[in-house]
Order: sequence, then C-alpha cells, then structure tokens
Amino acid sequence: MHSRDEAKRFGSWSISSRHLRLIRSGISSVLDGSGKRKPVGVYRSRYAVHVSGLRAIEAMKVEGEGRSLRYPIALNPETAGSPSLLRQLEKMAVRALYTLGLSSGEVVLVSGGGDRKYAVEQVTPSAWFEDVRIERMYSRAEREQKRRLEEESSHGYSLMLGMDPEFVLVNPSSGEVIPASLFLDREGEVGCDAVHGENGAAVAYPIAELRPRPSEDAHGLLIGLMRTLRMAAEMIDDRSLIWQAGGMPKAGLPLGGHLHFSGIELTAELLRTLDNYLALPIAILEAHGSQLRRPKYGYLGDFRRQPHGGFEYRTLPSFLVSPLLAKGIIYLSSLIVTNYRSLIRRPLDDEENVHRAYYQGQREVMREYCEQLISDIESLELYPETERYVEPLFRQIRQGGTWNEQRDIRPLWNIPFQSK
Amino acid sequence: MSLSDKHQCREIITKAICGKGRKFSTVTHTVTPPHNPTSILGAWIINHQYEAVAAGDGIEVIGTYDINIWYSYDRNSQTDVAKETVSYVELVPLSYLDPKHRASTVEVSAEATQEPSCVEASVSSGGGNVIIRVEREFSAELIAETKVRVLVCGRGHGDYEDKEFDFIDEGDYEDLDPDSLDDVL
Repeated sequence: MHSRDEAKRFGSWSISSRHLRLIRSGISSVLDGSGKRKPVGVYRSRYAVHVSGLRAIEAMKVEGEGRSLRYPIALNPETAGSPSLLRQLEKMAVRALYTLGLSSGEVVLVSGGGDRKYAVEQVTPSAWFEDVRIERMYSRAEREQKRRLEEESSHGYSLMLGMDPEFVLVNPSSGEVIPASLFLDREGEVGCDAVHGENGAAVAYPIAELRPRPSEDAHGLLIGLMRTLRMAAEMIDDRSLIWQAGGMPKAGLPLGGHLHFSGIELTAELLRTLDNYLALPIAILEAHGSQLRRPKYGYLGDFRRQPHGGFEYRTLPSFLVSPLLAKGIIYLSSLIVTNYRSLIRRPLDDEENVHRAYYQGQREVMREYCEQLISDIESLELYPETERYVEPLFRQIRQGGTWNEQRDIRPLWNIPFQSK
Repeated sequence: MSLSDKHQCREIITKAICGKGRKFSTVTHTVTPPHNPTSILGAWIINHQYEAVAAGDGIEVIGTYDINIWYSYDRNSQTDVAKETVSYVELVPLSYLDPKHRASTVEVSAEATQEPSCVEASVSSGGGNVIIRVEREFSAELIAETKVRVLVCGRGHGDYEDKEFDFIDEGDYEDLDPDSLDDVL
C-alpha cells in the first residue's frame, strides 16, 4: 500500500480506535488524551522518532512549551550517549507505526515517570508532513529501500531458512518444570534459553531450544530440526521427563517458534504478509493457553534483526507441539517469503474485528477470513511443490481443530521415550 | 613419549574478563530552588563524570552530575534555572564471577549504557522543592588473571596435509524422514 493510502486509512480511524489498537498490541498509549490528566506543570521527558523501512531515521529530544524545542540525538549506537535508551525508543516507534498500519511516520513518546516506561503520545504519518527537510529525509530513506528491492528482483536472492523453536521439560507426576539447563549448555544446536525478569536481566535458563543449521530449502531445515530433536533426546538423559511445546504449556512460561530468514530484504510488507498469511491462520489452531502469551509475546509483526544480516520472525508459538504444524509452517513460510509480493490481502490491517479477534483468541471471527487467504496461497504457481506438507495444515484450519499442548511431544516426533 | 602427547589439555594463566554485570535504575533527587516553583518547564542532567571501583563481589560506580531545572515562580510571572550537583554510588552486581580469578590482579571498568536522564520533574506537595526522577544504566566488567584450560595442538603445522577430517560428527541421523511422522494436530 502506498504511504498516502496508509495515511488516509489511519486518518479515517477514530482516535479511540488507534488508542485501542495500540493497547491491545501491548503498547502503552496516551493517544486518547489520558496523559494530559496528569497535574499541570509537571515536566516529562519526550522523544520524537521518525521511522522508515522499520528503522529510526531520526530521533529528537523534545522540550519546551508546545514541544517546539527539539534537538537531535545520535542514531549510531557507537556514538549515541544512551544506546540502550535509543534501541528501546526505536523499537517502540517502529512497533507503534506498524501496529497502526503505517510504513513511515513520526512517533512522539512520553515518559511514564521512570523504569523505562514510555507511552505513545502522538503519531503522524510521513505523508502528512509538509516540511521540506522532513519530506527529503523520508524520500531519501524510501529511495534507498527501493534501490535494494530492485537489486533483489534483478539479481534474485539466495534465501536461507532457520529457526529456534522451544520446549519445556516437565516432571509428569508433580507437573513441575525441570530446568533444561540441567542437561543442556546455553550455546549450540541444542541449547537452553533464558527467562528474563523485570529489567531484562536473565533470571534462569529453564527452556530448551533447538537451533538447527540454516538451510536453503524447507526440506533441509525440517531434516535439521528432526536431527536436533534426536540430539536433544540423547542429551536429556532423564527419560521420565515429558517434553511439552505450544504457546504456553505451563503458565508463565511462554514459548516461541521463531523463524529466521536471510538473503531477503526485510520490509514492513513482508512482515504484514507473514502476519496475515501465516500467524492469523495458525492462531485458529492454537490451544487456549497459547493465546495468553499475547500481547507481551506473539504480537503481530514481532521481528528482530540478526547479526548475519537477516531477521527473525518471532510471532509464532512453538510449533514443535505437532509435526503436522511444524511441517506445514516451515513449508508455508518459505512459500510466503518467496512470493510475498503477490499475496496482497491484509485483513489484520483493514478489519478492526480481525485484529481484535487475533489478540482475544476469537477463532470463529478469524476463520471467516481464512478461506480467502488459503485460496491465495493455493493459487500460487509453486504451491503444488509444497502441497504435501501444507494441505494437511489447511485441512485442520478448515475443520477447526486445536492442538493439545499438555501432551508429550516425543512420540509424535518418533523420539525414544520410556512410558511410565 | 613427549609431554604434549600425553597431556593434550593444559592450564594456562591469562588475563580475561572474569565478571560482568549490568544495572538499570530509576532514582529520585530533591532540589530546592531559591524561589518557590509554580511549574517545571524543563529538567536536564549535564556534566556526568564517573569511575568504577571494585567492591567485594560487585563493582561500584561512583559519579557526579549537575541537575538543571528550569522553573517558573511568582505565579508563572518569572523563570529561573536552579542548579545542583549531586553525587551517587551505584553498586552493579555481577551476573557471573569466575571463582578462579586472582584477586590481587583485579581491574574494573564501567560504562554508562544510558546516560543519566531526567524523565520526570514535579513540584513537591509542600511547594518548596522539586522532585526529579532520573534513569541511568551501567554495564561493568571485572578483568583479572585466571586459569583457563585449553586443548593443545600436539603436532606442528603442516602434519595434516594428507589427512581428511570430519569436523562435525553427523551421528546416525541418515534415516530422518519427515514423511514418517504422523499428520496429527
């Protein structure tokens, strides 16, 4: 969608719709004016961040009456006075714009009084700016992205796929979670992952994580995943423990099924295609517990850039919960990423009730829109090559099944286990 | 048989990062301006200076900064800037510490990953003071000599020329076949 059309749609939403959309997605907002109810004369720090191409292109400290006094802060983490604050402001601004269906614009963030709590106070689509300097800044960023995309289409890309899905170890008699760190190192193809406390500090390493080597195709990645499952079975030598996956098999321990892509330019449209054609249909199948990890985890458009130049799509729960799901997701994601320019339906961005249904786990509302999305996928030229793995997933979505995240996943994956 | 054939593992003593820590905090300061403030127009932290010192099992960051508060008084008819230098000591706990490090060789360093910045300033309920909230964050490292176990290459370079190695143990995973897995949700 062109940035002018995005701005038009944004403009047609009421302030309270914008506010609710942010809140529902886990972003603090005072767009509805609630921030002004604070006592007058109190000073709060504010930042204005301009975003284009899912990156901050300018950040300013905002001061003074009418917020008229603005001075730039260095964007380069090497020279920024406060790199961790800058990272946080950039992430919030990118996420707020994305959630409001915009690919570029300015977000003003206001402090909530400490502990790195910031709320969205004002959002301005790039198309609404008439200042020549700002217009030039956006055009420059857009031209740069366009150039990279054109290069990609003319030279083709060498896509690499990767993943790091998680699972937990549970004592079947007590129901207790046994820390994966008792059996696994932090690093490696089979490792463990941290659960973070309030200030982002790692507090424990309870979660097992599989990091198969990246592959150029879905089949290779799937074989890699099965290999790491076998390796995990050898390392976790207490076979009495059961393995659970899904979104949140144990309350308070949200699990992710992150997909990694490199060799392709990350754009907001690519993320929106993954949200609409992958995360939305998959959400129809999830167990009730999985929905509870949102909006802190599993929010739409959750991505992280990787040092290898690619990115990680973090919205999905741990699809290790079923081989049908894992096979379907791996093949479907590879199909979506390589064909995203022709998958143009965006119910999550166009229909408020679908966005709400995703965050509230309303399956029936989501299902109404899925048939069209599935048809788009089925009509792709390359679909027949993946049909064997993707069709069973679509069948389940149509039938309205849900996965069970309480069961032991080992028998499903042909992993040796000792039944009690 | 030479020593290196028998003992491929050696302990060496080296200077290494033996401890790391990070601490984010929000702190409150009270500043008393010469006039009773009506409202706060701006608040800035400048001239931040700090150094790190070893303190037991942690690292202390000792520093100072100037708080500048732009405020109005006399029912918003006048403005002024109140300045005050504050000093602080922040203990950064170490998330890991190598127990084998030699205490006599310890050096510490700290870096402000977020420069102290005022996030909120308001007039106290009594009216005479300004309460300001400041966020700051430090990461700290403890460097010392420690023992590290290393694998020693027992042969000279060039001895491997005619040999082929499998550096990665693939294990017995040739039978992996996604089609063998049942299609259950």
